[in-house]
Amino acid sequence: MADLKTTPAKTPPREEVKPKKLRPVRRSLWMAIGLLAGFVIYAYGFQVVNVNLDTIGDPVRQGRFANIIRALGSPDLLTYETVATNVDIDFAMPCPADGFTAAASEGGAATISIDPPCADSRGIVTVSGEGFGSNEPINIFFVPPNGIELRVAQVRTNADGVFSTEAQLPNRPDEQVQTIRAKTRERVGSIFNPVYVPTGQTNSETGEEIVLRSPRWSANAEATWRGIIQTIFLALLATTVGTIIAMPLSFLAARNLMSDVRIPVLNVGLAIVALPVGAVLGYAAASGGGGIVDRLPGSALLLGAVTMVLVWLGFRALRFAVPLPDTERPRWLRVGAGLAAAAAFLLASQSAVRFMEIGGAQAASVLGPLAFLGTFVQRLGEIMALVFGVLAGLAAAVALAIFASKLAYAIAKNVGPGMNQVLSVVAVGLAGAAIAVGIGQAIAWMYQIIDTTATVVIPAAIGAVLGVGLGVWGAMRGQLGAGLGIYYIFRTFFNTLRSIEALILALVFVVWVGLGAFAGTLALALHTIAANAKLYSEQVESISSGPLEAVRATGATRLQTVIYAVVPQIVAPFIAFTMYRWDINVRMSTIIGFVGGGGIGLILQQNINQLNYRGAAAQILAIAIVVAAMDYVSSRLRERYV
Amino acid sequence: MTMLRVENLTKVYDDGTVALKDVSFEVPEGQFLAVIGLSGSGKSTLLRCINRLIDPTEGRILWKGEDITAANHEDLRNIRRRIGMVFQNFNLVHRSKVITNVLAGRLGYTSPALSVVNRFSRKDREQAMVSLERVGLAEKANNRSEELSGGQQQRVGIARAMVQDPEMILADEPVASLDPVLAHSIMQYLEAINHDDGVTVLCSLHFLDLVHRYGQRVIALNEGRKVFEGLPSEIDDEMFKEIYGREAERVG
Repeated sequence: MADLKTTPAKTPPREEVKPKKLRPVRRSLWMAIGLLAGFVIYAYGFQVVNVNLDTIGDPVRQGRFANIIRALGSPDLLTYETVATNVDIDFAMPCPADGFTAAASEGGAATISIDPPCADSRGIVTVSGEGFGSNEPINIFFVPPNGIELRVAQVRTNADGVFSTEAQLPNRPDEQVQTIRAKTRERVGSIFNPVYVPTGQTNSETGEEIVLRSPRWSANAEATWRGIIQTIFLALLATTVGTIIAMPLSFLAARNLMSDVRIPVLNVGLAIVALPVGAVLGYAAASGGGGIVDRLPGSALLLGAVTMVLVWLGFRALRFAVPLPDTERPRWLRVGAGLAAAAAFLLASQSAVRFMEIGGAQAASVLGPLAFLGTFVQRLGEIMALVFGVLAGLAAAVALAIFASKLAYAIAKNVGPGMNQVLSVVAVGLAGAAIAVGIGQAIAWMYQIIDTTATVVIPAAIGAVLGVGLGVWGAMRGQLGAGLGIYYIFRTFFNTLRSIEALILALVFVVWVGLGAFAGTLALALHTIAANAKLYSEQVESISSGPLEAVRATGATRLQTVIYAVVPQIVAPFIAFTMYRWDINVRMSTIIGFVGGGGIGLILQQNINQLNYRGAAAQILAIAIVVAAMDYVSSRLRERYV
Repeated sequence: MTMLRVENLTKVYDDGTVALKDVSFEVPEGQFLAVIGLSGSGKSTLLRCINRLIDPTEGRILWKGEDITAANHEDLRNIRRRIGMVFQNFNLVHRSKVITNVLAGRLGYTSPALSVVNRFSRKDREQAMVSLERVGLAEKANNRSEELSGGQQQRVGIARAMVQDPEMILADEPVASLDPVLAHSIMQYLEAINHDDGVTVLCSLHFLDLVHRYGQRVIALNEGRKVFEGLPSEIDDEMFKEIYGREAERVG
């Protein structure tokens, strides 16, 4: 095969690059200065963070620390029933004139003795015992004739089952013989050999005697279980909701997709003016449609049927409005059909929302233990009703902006270039005024200004002037880099939002929606949106551009290019990042309870505040297990998909 | 009849590089035009200016009498869908199926609303299969495109251009990434499309013998300027040095 060969052009002789060599003395000097600087920085750091070894050596603190570590070894998970054993010995107070000798104590193998055998009020005696279990906690009581136990000492036997302690007696002189009692409590049952202990109480409803299993899950264990389940689902909801919202937004924050979006000036101006108009119209249409649906009788069956019919009608109209290629159909008919489809879908979603609210409530009342499914549908309906107006406004705003852009193309075709430039400048001026009024309104709300001159007229004037300036500049170039503008707005927004920790967001949401897991979910979801949108958009920026170019060359629209050339390239990394975020969110949600965001953190914080370290140990254990499991699962899944 | 007319085309990139300088030529309908020149001589820029993947700085491009350089967003979609493009690096979406890559050629004819839900009409699907059969890859339709060899990927690229029902195909170094044996098989597909379907082809090439064998007419670029236009047989040694520079040497 014929090939051509070019002799390489003569390259200029390369300059010798001499490594910069410092003389040994100067090098040592620099090293010394570096060490000195390090010394100063660490010295200052020690002062700032209060490095203090006195407290570490303090035996009291060491004891507390040891208690916490030991508590971690025996988390409060099980409750045992106990059986008490009493060892009694007779005692006299005050001492009789002829002295007093107690009979031997009763209580099986264990015996106690008192020295001296009798004492006056508030006297101090030594109580000794033997034959007890080793390392057993023992309570010493003074029992007057009325039988009420007054505790006078607490002691633990040694390894041989022997104890001896001093006890100060109460002021209870009596002629009769009194009693000193050593009481031990023994756990009954074990994990592998549980025991059922009758309590002697009866259930007021069934009339049966209450029997308790020993051991059984402690109240703390049950609370831990509920908390960790709440935590897992909190993280799941926050991750999925955040991801769903972050995905489409991430495309707007990807530089490679946005940088070449240049739009003629007239289109930009008209589209911006169309946005608020569309938003208002959409919102109004949603409320109007809601009004119509609200007049229907509140029967789930009827609403369901209405929804299905409307959806069917909507699809028919849509098929008519967007025919397959090669079908000729007058433009006005297609536009009419499109509007009809939009109206049908609007009403359909309204009645679907009502259907979900009413049907969900009805289902919840008959489903029994599965009532939460019905309640879920009802809640979903309520959420949709809440955001419906906003969504409809958003959709209508986008639709009208697209229409305005098409209108601008039509105008550009029918008027001369000079006229087009004039119209462009006017349109961008109006757009500038609209944006400035929007900002003015935000400021007015923030600082509660009611002066309309300051919040409407002046911003409108400034915006119009800036807009006209931008319009003139753009009209000379013909196009505006609208894509880059959108890119910077979204990037800035995400970066700002991301810099606020989820814990702080949770504090805000607790104020808004109250204490509990819902506030935590909202906070984590918002943080997920910001963090994932950034990660996703970086993935989008790193895709190979060849397929993008190829799909664009076929005449695909921007949306089609994204769906066919971008999405297939990012599915795997998106799955990986979503997994990773879930992992992070599980960890975050364990502590979001500290600020009132629900989940296991709330119980953990309560236990720590009450110095109930064995209780806290159960929660720490649960968190460790769940986080480790999540870590393992997510890394396995990432391995598989990436 | 003239299919394409390029008038005084100039492209200066944002960094000041002059990629094309005052290039003018015409392509009659049904011709196989070869574009030659060294790497960096502006061949790729020229082809990409024709379907406006790159916006030219100056000059006009008339395609069937329509001014491509003045076309807006919507006109451009209508123009692009009738101009197929084949790339040096094939530019397939690796993770998508072969058939999906071919169907992408129909996107210019598909309503954006329908492609959101990944729907193509039955007719489009049939056409894509016919097109794949023509390049001999029908049985690979459901494979992922990354599983295909280089030559097979380029055949998918050709099938994608063909389902556009193009009146013209722009081929940007279609065989430069393939080994010489495969090069002929790919070029024969392009030749067949040109010969049997009457599709005009603009093809940039590296190898002169491919130019001799497939090109009906040649234009040559050197540093963004057109330095030759004529029949492949007219490229003699003197002309060769003009195109490729004094130091170039013919081998083989």
